[in-house]
Amino acid sequence: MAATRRLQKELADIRDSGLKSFRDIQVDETNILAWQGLILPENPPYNKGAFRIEINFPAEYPFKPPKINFKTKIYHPNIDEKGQVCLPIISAENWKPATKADQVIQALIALVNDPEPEHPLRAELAEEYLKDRKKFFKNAEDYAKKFGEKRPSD
Amino acid sequence: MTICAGFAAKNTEVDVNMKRDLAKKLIERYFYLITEGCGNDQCVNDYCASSKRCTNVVSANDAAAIAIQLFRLDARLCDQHPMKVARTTNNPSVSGNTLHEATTSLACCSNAPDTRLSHDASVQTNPCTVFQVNPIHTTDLSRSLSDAQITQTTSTCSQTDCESNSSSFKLANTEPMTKEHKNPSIIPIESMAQKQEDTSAQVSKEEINEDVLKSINDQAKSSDQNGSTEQPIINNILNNLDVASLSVPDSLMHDLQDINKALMDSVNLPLEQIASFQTGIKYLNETNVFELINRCKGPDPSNDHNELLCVLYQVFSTPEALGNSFINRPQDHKKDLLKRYNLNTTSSSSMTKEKIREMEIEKELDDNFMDTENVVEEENCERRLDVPGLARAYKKISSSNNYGLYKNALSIAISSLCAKITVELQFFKSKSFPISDKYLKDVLHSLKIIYEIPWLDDLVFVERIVPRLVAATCVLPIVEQAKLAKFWCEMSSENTLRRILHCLQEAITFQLISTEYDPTFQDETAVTFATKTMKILYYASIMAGECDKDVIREEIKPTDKTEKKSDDIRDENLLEDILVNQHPHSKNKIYKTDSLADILNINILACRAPLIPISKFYNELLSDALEMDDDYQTWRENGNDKFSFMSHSFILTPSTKTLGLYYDNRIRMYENRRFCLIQTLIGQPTHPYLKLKVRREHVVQDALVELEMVAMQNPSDLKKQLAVEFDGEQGVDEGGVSKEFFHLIVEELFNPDYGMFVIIDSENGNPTYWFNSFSFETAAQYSLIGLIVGLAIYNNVILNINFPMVVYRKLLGKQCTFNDLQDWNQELYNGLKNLLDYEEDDIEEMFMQTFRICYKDAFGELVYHDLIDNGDQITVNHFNKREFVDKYADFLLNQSIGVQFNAFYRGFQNVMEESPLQYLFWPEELEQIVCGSKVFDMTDLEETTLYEGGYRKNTPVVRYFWNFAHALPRVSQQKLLQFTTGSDRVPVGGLGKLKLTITRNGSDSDRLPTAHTCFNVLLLPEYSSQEKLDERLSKAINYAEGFGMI
Repeated sequence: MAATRRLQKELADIRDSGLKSFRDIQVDETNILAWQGLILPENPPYNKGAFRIEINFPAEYPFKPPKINFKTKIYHPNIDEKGQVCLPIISAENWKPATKADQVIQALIALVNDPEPEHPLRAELAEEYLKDRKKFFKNAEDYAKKFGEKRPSD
Repeated sequence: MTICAGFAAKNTEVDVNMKRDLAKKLIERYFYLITEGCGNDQCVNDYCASSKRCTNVVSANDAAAIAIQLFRLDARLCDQHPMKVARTTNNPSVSGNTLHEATTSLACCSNAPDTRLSHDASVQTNPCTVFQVNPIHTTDLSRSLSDAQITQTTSTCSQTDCESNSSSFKLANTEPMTKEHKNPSIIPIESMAQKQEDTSAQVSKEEINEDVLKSINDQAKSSDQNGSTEQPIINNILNNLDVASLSVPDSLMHDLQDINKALMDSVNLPLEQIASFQTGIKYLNETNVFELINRCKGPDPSNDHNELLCVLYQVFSTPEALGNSFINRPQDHKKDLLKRYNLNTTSSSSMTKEKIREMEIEKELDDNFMDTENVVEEENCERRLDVPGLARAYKKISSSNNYGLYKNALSIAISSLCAKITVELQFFKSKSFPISDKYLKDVLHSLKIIYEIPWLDDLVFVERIVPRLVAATCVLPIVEQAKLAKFWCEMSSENTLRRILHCLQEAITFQLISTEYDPTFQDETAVTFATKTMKILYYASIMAGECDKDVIREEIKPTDKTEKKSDDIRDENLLEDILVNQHPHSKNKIYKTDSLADILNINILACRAPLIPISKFYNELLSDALEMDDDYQTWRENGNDKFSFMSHSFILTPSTKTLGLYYDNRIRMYENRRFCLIQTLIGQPTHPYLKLKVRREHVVQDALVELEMVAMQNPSDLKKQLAVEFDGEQGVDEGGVSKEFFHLIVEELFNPDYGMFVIIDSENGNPTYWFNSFSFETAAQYSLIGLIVGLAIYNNVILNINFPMVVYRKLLGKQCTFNDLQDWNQELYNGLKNLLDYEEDDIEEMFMQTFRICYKDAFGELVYHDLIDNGDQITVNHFNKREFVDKYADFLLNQSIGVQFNAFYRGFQNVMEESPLQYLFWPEELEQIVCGSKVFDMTDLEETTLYEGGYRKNTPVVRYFWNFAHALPRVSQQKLLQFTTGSDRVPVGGLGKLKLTITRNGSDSDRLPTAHTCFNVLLLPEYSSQEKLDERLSKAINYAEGFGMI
């Protein structure tokens, strides 16, 4: 399949590279446009759990950007209750076809590790993050433990 | 031309004389041909007096002038007439010497104070001086020739004004002019100038006539050796003069005296002094303007200052001089640099006048030398204006101390120049004289220089000078206007064009305000001239704008019958067949294109975006005041022959244009009704309306059936006024019922569940409808929608549909290209644009894209399509990426929906084909008449807005926000929308459908508001006051606009 040739390669590359922070990549054989995977952030408070995400590539990929959704609930200023995330690198205005899926994933992990309270999707969390970091950390950790998936051991 | 060029070469005098003799003989023969004919009654030569074709009685001076033109054109001569041949040879008085005198004197009568002309004998044969080239001195002919000279004089006199006519009287003086203008031998000239004193600034006919009489008397006195001037000839000239002066638009005349008086007051030199001031400078360029201005700072400021003033005036008031100014020559540039260098080195050591004088002479010599080299070349190619140099010169002038003074001097000069041009060109036109190329070039060049003036849109200038400037522009032959448009398009900066446009708009507005309201101001010349000039600018803007390369309109093929037959579901498409069959006849028969557009080869449809937005051309005051019905009438009756604003529709706002369309529709409707009445009288009653009877529950099916019937039985009924009746309901259709009908039918047909249209681009809150290429519906259904859209425009109903702009472009006959993808699907466009811009070598590995593309159909299934044969095997690389992108866009926008769109288009065209729709509207404007202007109802938006982060409806900062939003002007509201949602388009159903969310973003701070355009979220810090919010938010939205969305 021509349009997915690149995607096939990207998938193979990511699997080969053995990313520690993005694992358990599942792709439906009949539809290579939908990926699932676990991200494992390193920074507290998110290092207590694993978060399942879904990456949906459009049929026109790479000319149109993929979309990312969190399947796991997460207490994060930049990710809303529905799991939507506003990641500049894949916004319609900034998207470059030369950007690879692994770069997108790296950017996502970086955002999870270091929230950007300046551009919040959930303003109340951003405020808490800025004003009462301790409380925020505690809440986030509780969330991660409660809803997050188990981190693979290795 | 070739002969002239021959003269221009440095021949020996003998040689020159021989050629002159030859020319003389020829001209003489033409003269007799015109005045007396060849004697053969059967002669078929158009110019021959003996032929029946030439019925006009030509005066001697006209004949002489025409003869010279014929000579130049190498026109046909009859067989020799024994009586009339070659008198020259019989006349012993013809010697090289007298000839030389004559020619020199003739050259002098060219009032161009052009050093080059007066220096170089060869230039006298330059075609520029049509009336001056006559090297003939025989008794008979010289009389009529001197008449020709007088004609020239009269036309220069009728140049109406304060201009230094003195030089034109030099023709009375047969003494050869030398370049020493301060030569005392020119006393008569100065005395002439004095005689002129009183009348110099006047235009009125009597005074011109006085001038002429005076000049003629002088002529008579001084040219005694030429024989006597005869009374009838003088009368003749006066008659000509009448024509000339009468043909000057009154509006140009009426305030001339005022202007000059007012301006003169500010210039403290008497005009006569300025006019007669002798300088060595015959044209201006960057260098000598700089020199002159620098000299003003010299030891004798007042004198030098006067010199500059005079030079400016003299050059700017004569087309010949201005026509030689600011010409771009490569060699010139080098010399300029040298010159400036010299100037710099000498100016420090107090420069004496003598030195400057020396330099001046040196320079002139240089110029002459150079010019002789350039003559041939220059005559052949267009003169190029040194735009940057000119701009620097203007800047220098406007930054000098006596800026106001110079401006005034220039204003007077320009106003006189323009009046002169107007009169002369009109005079030539009325006499249908051929106009010399050189003169036209001069005029055109002068106008170019004037339009570049940076203070063009000053109020005084707009009020007083611009009306005459546009008049002069409009009398230019259309070819020259086209050249002006080309020049503007290629050479002028966008700022200059905007300034010119602004100035024209101001001039029109000013004229409208200052004159009494007059519904028939099609005849208000100042307004019409400005509008016509604006047309030149409009075309320039279109040419300079973004254009598609290949825009040959794809004729919708009348049938795709093979294709249709293959589809077995298509047996009920009667409507489709009928529409197809009756479509091709009568296309755009009345609305021929504008001749200027023809010359420039402009295809408005090819233009994507003009350099200056079309909305800048709207003149609202004019649009409001215009009586559109009158204007429409004029347009309908005369097409482009008579002035109407309909034929200059760029100046009208869309609403006024819609009114024009409305009248067009109504008139055709009434025509239909009248026809019905006649039919009724002769016993074949038909209904004056297009009547539709539909059941509310089955609107689409019923409408389809009914319209099919109409289209089958009597297609012209479609152009009748629509009257809808709902089954079982009593409403009488006075417009309301058909509105309801349109609303229902659009709602149903566009419903995605119905399957005819899909929604695209719904992510960023602005869904648009697009043809479903997998639709199971018949083409007839799409034709119906086309019909409905057409009927809606025709019946002045606004539809609630949101097509991407591409559809309107296609409706106006454009084939869509890659660029159109932008408003169809911005994301995809960005991605493909990126591919095009990708420079690295690894493009093949990076994109791994082949010519097989993938997209989702309406059911979310992936579909693959090969853009070319074996697309899967061909990788996109640097060499074929453009092809890939073009094919991709073509597939999405044209091919994949070809069947559906063609059916849609045919339905539309069926109603609209004879209307001026295509002629009047841009796609953007068409959208506006179909969907109505997007209403920015902020209350709608407010009611549906959600609040998060602790904000409520009545939180103070939220109140501040809405106070701010409601108070914004429309344009800024659009910006606010753009800022928060990434799109300034109102979604179908109004702003309420946007679902804006306002979220608290921290307590009071200096941070700017931000927005998530992906979710229509506005992040608003809790600002402490209304003022602060106003300030921060306006900064944010304007900032976003200024840098645009990446």
